[in-house]
Amino acid sequence: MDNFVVELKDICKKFELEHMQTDALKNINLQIKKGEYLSISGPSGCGKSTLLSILGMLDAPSSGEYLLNGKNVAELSDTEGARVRNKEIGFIFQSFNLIDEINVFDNIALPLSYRDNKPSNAEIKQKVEECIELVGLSSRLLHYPKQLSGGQQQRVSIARALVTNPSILLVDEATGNLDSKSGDAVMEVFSNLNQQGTTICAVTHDTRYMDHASRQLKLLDGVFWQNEEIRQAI
Amino acid sequence: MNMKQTFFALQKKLGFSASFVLTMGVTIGVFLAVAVLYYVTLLQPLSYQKQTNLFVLESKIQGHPRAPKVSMYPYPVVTDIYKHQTHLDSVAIVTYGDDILFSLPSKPTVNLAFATPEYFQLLDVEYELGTGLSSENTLESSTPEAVISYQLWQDKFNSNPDILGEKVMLDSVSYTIIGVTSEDFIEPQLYEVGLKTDVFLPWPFNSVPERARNSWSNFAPNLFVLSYKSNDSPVSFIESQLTSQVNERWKQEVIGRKSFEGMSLKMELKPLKDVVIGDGRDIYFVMLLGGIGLLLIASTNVLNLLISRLSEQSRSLAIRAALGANKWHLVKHLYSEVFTLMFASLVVSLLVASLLFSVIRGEMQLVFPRAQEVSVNGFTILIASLTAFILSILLTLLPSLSINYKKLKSVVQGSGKGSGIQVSAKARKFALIFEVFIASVISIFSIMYLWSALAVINAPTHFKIDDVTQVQLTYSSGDGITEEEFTSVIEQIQGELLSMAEVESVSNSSSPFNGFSGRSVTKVVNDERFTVRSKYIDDEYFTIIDQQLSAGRTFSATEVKEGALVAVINESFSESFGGPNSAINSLISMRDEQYQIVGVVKDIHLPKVEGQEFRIYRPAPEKNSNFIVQLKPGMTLEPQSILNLIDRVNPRFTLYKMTELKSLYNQATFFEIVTVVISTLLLVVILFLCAVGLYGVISYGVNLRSVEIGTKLAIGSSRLKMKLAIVKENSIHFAIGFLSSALIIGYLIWKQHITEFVVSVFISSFVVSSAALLAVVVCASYLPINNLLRKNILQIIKGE
Repeated sequence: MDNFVVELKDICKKFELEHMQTDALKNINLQIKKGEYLSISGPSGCGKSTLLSILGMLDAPSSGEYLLNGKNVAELSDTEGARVRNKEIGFIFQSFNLIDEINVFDNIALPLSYRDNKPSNAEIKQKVEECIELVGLSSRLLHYPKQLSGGQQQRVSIARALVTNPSILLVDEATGNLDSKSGDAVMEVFSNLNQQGTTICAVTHDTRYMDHASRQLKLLDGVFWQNEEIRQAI
Repeated sequence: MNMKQTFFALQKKLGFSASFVLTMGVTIGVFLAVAVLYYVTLLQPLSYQKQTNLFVLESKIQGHPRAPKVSMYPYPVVTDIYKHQTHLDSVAIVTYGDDILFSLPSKPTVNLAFATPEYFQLLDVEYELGTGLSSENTLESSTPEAVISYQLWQDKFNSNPDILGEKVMLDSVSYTIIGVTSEDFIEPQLYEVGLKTDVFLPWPFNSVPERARNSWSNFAPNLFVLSYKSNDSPVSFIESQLTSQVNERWKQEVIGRKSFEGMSLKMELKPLKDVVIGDGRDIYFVMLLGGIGLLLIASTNVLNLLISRLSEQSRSLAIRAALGANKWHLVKHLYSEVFTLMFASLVVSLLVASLLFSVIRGEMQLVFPRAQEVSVNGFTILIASLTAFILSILLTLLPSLSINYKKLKSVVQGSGKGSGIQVSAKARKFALIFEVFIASVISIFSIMYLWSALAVINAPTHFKIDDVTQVQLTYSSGDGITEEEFTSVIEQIQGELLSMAEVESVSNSSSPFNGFSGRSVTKVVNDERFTVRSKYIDDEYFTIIDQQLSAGRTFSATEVKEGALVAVINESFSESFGGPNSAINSLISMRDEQYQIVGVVKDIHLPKVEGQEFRIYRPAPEKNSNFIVQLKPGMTLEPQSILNLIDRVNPRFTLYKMTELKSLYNQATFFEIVTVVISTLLLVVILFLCAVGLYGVISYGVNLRSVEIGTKLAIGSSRLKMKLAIVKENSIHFAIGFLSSALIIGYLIWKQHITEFVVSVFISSFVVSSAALLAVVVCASYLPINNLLRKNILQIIKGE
């Protein structure tokens, strides 16, 4: 039996607005193996971010089944869901989503503070230092987000996503707000992480970085398409 | 909870933090002050070990429709109880007075208590130095010894450690100081709120005149019987036994005197605590209610602030939720801020309470009987901490209800609508009605108290209080003075006073505020009996105070000089004779002497005297040491010039007190003046807080509805219509909140005591409160919608 981190079965997501209904995702089936680097691309509005929100348990599907490490997430309560999200998922957002009021160290340590068994201060310090070293920003630990460049902020958000040692990293247009140099540096970090065994599912519409992934999927109007199918459809 | 992060975040939001801390700090401080005052006055045991067994034996006159409701004793009844009663385990008798302490160069006026030695034992008085009055003192003989208060020892004797054995000279008697009470001794204020005794002297040295000491018919309100009763004797049994014992003797003494036929004395044992507190329990309850109301309104306002703060933090909270924070984590995050701010508020509240306590102890000790016991102590800190803790929990949990956790998670990805933090329309309506309700209750009560107090303050006295000064002299020391010499000195002083450039005229009488004593009077024609307030005056009295004559005439100088048996009565008393004109030439009997009524004067109104008392004025047969002096317009009288004048006439006399009648009036209405200040402040603060709170809630609601409002404007609605709609909508909430509060207060008043005055005060309070609050609601509704409508329609729809 394959060791899947993620299994999506017939996932649909509908948005209802007054008397109108929009299907954002239509019968999505997806399996992500441990250690895999999956890239999902597609034009704006195709449902990429919605899919990533469902994968990250930030949103629930309208129908279908989502198994994370074999566990059906629909059966989890809010609190259990938060615990699983904290432990199993590392989310990297396009807009970094760092908290401006706290420094880099505290931003990276934040997920650890939500653990049921909160690590000791020494353990937190050690983990934060390990993660910040992975992204090459050890000298910026006491800086505040606004004192960093966009690329540096994204690397901090990667460190924050890694600090809980999650089963999967979900990456949403990580380079979308960065210049090409910073984008390259960030993608380099993901490649290295994947080589060290981290499972990654990245959403992007930047074709330059799709090749970093071991598998590439295209999303169009809420459905996965193979390149062949797209060509035939056109 | 990371306090460092919390501090940093709050530091960046100084406006928010300061608003929170000031609002909660000040209101918790005010609440603390009234709550502690309520507790200390009404609930806290007195500071005496035997306090539950200490009673004041009161004497109430029965069998007379106009008998005073307060306890009054004839002097011999008090001493008789002290000597002969056997039903109480221990009894002390005490009376009060004041005099000049001649042995000190500054000659200060000191308050005196004349007590039997048991007084000190019953109250477990401890001493800084020395002891209490020795138990060898009896009613018949006593050594002239004195116990002075800690305060007097500090202020006037510079805490002299060798004070014992020193002499103090009071009323020509030299007393040896044998003790100084401890700093912690709190004297029960039996006679007058705020009156603190400076010198305790043995009972036999009291200032009751010899004639009154032997009079069984002369009732005085300043004689007290303090007693200790063991737990096994029922109060009712002792009361009935003492009533029989006292009446048996008293009736023997007044037998055959028509004035006292059918009258008896009822002995009542009243717990010492009840006597100390007095009758003003309602005011503490209303003040506590005001404090709670303030706290509720302030908390609602802070709740609004916190919800706004939460909305502002929605992104940060969404990130935390995305990183695995559950709802409890988010609540904890909010709590860390609320807790930190509440802790700062706690510190501010203790400072505010401490300030208010010092005002209560200093400026309001004449109003609150146990004022000197309020302070910031362990109990106060406990109450403050508990209040702050409970509020911090509520102020965390209530805003956290506005967090839509499911929505919040999706906010971070931008797929969700709104902020994930929103207060429901129902909750907003409830907040509006609640604020109006609380503000209405407090404002109606405040205005009712304000009106009632103003009615007392502004009630016409029907005599002149401006430009009239009361001058009281005292005879200082020496080998005694003959009546002739005394009369001569008083006449000389009166003459000297009259010759002063500032003085218009002088009367050798006491002011209308004092000098009256209770007397029993019989109408000669039909033996009808009356209790009246009687006063000796001279021929200048009515002219100086401008008390108008209704019928007949006043006294001539000759009548005063000869002590003629004529009387002037007031209008109320004259009604018993069929009116002012019918009363003229009627005869009344008093102390076996018959007086002819020669005049009727208008009633005077003294503050706090309910209804009209029957008054009788008689020509003073002897000179006395009291003057009322009418000054020329715009003139003032300096005490030093009076002192010099007296010194010139006779150095053995000195000035005892000099007080303007206006000041006496203000002293008499001090409670009402304080009530006016407190209720006005409360009203202003409550209206302000209500306005801020309503503005916050309405503003929030208007902003949430910006799309709806913008759309309506876009399809043709006018701006004026939108404004009117919002004002109308909130006026309905105002009506619900206000009417429900008015109904509850109306019901409470109806249950208590309904009089024409109370109804008129309630109605006027209702009208004024509704007008004030409606104005607040209209402004709080108009301003947010007006601000929104200043933008163009597109901006409104986009919520920019």
